[in-house]
Amino acid sequence: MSREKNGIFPLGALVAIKRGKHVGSVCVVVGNAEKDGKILIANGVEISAEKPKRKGSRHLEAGGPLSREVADRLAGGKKIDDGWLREALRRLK
Amino acid sequence: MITLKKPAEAEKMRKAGQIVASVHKAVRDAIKPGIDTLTLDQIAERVIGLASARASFKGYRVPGVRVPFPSSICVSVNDEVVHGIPNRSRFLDEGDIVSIDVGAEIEGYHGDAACTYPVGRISPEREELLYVTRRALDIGIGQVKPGHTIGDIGHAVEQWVLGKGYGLVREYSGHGIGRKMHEPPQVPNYGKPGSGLTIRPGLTFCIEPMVMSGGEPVRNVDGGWTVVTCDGSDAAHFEHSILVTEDGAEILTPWE
Repeated sequence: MSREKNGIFPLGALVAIKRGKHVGSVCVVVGNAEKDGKILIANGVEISAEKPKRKGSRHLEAGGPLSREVADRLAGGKKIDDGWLREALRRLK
Repeated sequence: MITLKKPAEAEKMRKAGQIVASVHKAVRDAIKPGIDTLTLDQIAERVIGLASARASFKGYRVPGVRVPFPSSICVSVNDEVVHGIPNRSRFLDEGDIVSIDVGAEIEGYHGDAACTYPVGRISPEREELLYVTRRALDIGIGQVKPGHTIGDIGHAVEQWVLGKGYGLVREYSGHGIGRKMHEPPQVPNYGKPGSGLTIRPGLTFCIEPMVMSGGEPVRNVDGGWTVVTCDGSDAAHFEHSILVTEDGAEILTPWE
């Protein structure tokens, strides 16, 4: 059975941090580290889009909505900055 | 977490792979015009049960899809790319192409493999599609050598498929496999040479090119499970579970 690219944490998915310094923060998936399976997240506030945080899937809660504009922008190879990301998240919520 | 399988684990995966291959043989022998796709599922379930194994797909859940996968195998016909749900009302016709995807678990380890079969005599266009997709799998497996990367596999598959004028599914990929059916790493059917995880002995993963004769966009139907081509063009799917050895690739699911 094929796996959906990026599986449970596709680009643009809204996630909540379950463990660590930023527990409770809501972020969006901005990438996946293929080598070790970690997920890259950012929210433009505590976690910058220019320096996304790497989290293991066990420390993230999925199930939130998907931001198509974030997904499409990243899939198109375009960068996102914190201001843009904050706005995108505001529209999603 | 990416794990390298020890010899005892590899042996269990061979066992799971052999069961998957047995299911393919039984289902392949049953494919004919007029058979419904649920009957194929029941045949698969019987073979899996007789082997004291468990159907990996049955009850499988993915985020975003409310209903767990209801069947033991995926049966995808013509423009259905993957994850087709067997149905008593869906009959195979002469000239169809049908992709059978099988997963089985035994002693805690999974095997997963897919093949697209012709139903009776098929058109030259469909024959070509099957050939290109099958060859894509072989080309991908040919890149499996210690020191190569996952990106080498995807690049080789992509170059072949696009070079032949066909489309590739990019939203779904191959995957690591072992104690879970889907483990890291992802194994996309496209990539840059030298990118991604370095392939090492003990790694187990599935390579599964999904190729369409028309445009690449796909969409989900049937409550989110079945993937179909947006333009209605045909799709084919071939997959093997692979164990990386010191010499290259060992195919764990010999469905040929």
